[in-house]
Order: sequence, then C-alpha cells, then structure tokens
Amino acid sequence: MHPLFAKFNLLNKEIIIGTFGLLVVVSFILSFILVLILAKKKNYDVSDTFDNLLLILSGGILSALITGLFYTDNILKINSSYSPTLISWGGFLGGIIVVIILKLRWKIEIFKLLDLIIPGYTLALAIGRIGCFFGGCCYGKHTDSSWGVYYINKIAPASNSVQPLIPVQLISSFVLVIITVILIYSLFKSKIPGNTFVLFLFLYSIKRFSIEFFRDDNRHFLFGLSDGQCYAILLFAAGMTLVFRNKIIAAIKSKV
Amino acid sequence: MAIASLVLGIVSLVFAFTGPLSIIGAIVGIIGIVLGALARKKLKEAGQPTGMATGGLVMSIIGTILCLIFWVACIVCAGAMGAAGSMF
Repeated sequence: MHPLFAKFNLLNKEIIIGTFGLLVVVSFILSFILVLILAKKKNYDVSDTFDNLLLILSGGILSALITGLFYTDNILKINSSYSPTLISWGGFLGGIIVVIILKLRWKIEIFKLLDLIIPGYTLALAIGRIGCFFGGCCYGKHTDSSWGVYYINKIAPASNSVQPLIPVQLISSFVLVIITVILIYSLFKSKIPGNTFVLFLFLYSIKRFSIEFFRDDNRHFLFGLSDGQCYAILLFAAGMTLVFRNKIIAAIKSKV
Repeated sequence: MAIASLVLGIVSLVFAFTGPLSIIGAIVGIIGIVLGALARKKLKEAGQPTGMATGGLVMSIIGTILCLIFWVACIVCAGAMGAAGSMF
C-alpha cells in the first residue's frame, strides 16, 4: 500500500514520516480523547483520569518495547541498525501492571478504571491495524478472490509475496471498531464494575484467536498455536477467572 | 520531579530530529511523562500549584510524539519492518 506518508527537508536534513508511525501516534491521541470524553460523561475526575492514562500509556509503550526485545534474534548483537518492535500483548501487560501500582499507591477503583480505558485500547488497536495495512505488516494468507490485495512497494514486508493477500488487517480493524462500540454501550449500561473489562477479554480473545488462522506473517509458534493465539487463550482464561472471582475467593476463604 | 519532567521534555524534543537516535528521545520523553504525571498527582494531593509539572508533561508529550513519528518512520526506511511481524 503506502508505507511512506510524507518526505520533506528540514534544516538540510531529509525527514521521512512513515504511515504506520503516524497512525500509531494518531491512535494514541484519538483513544486518549475518547477515554477523556467517556470519563466526563461518567462524571469522573477528568484531570485525575488524564494523569492515570498517561502513566498507563507510558507503562504500556515501555513494556511493548521491552517485550519486543524477546522477538529479536540475538539481543547481544543489537547495534545502531537495530529496529525495535512494539508487541501488543507486552503493552497490555505493562498497562495492567501500572493499573495495579496505581491501585496500591492511590487506592483507585481498579475495575472502574479498567472499564473506562478499555474502549480506548480497542480503538487504538483498530487504528493501529490500519497502520499495519498501509505499512504492509501483519498481512494475511494468499487469496484468489477479488478483494485480495497486492503489495508492490518493496519496503512493505508483505511485498515478499507476489500473490494477492487477504486484507486481514482491515478485517481486524473493522471487528475492533465493532468491539469498541459494544464496550462503550456496556460501559454506560452495566452497573457492576468490571463487566465491560470482562466483556473485552472475551470478545477480543475470540477475535484474536480466529483472525490468526488467516495471517501469514512471520510469528512464533508454541504447540501448533501462534503467539497471538496463546495470548488469546490467556485473556479468555483471565475473563473466566474474573467471572467466577467471587466464587473462587469464597472457596479460598472457606478452606483458610 | 516537575523540573526533571520539564528538562526531559526539552531533551526529547531535541532528539526528535536526530534520525535513528530518536528512539532515545522517545524513551526520555516517556520518562518525562511519567515524572510529570506523578508530580501532578503529588502536587494535587498537597494542594500546591501544578503549573511546572503540567509544562513538563506537555513538553514531554510533544517530544515523545515527534520521536515516535520519526523513529517508526526510520524503521520503515531501513526496510526492517519484516522483523516487526507481531506489531499490534
């Protein structure tokens, strides 16, 4: 597609803006605005939500970068030409760790915060996937149908395949937008804190597990399942644990 | 903490225009955001003005955004996005 968005000279230096990088930043900004609007509509402290969001986002980005190191073939051989990788599940994990720290330090209501930020997270992923489509990463398998996409630009990793590919990034993005709408609806309708987050865990894990069957980019595999599918199973298990958390806690207490 | 955030924000802005080194600016900017947000929370708790912390936060956010845009563009330029198969 169009991996390069713009190219210009600034102070006698050539500056290139990649479409993927630009859309990643746009996804952060739009999801941030969405969460702040939701916080205002829910009558939460917007200023406090703003600070919490920044901390969660920072933790998420750093964690996504650190987990990206595990996808590097040889960490010891990293040099100036090393290209860092952002890993979505690493970002999610980092965000959750920051939420737990906020709970311990400032006694915030953890499930209310998670319910609030999760539609922003899915919106960011939806826009990020459009970035993947333009950048030519996370591409799909070969298809002969009329909606197959060719990648001509040699910069795009998908250009290795000369055949038309399933636009799996756009399908993923579309499903994520639907999930975002459902989560926003749940946020305002659900009266029990944590319900929207649990709904995300189920919807996203099902979507991620299914979509992986149509992807054809290089990934790690474990027991025949891709890393994305392993991540989806963990999210689904976390959702089940949260659904039955009251029963689990009661069972543990009765044993003690 | 607020002053540190302001300084890191300015440093990240400088690094934004250094090509592949903008990754350093992004990390510095993120640390600036963390310090700025923590400073704002603590100052609000103590009932003190948050002006400098907010300034540091804004500078860090702008620096980080510019660094991210130019840094991810560098990845594309290097044609190394194949290694980023699991992005998002």
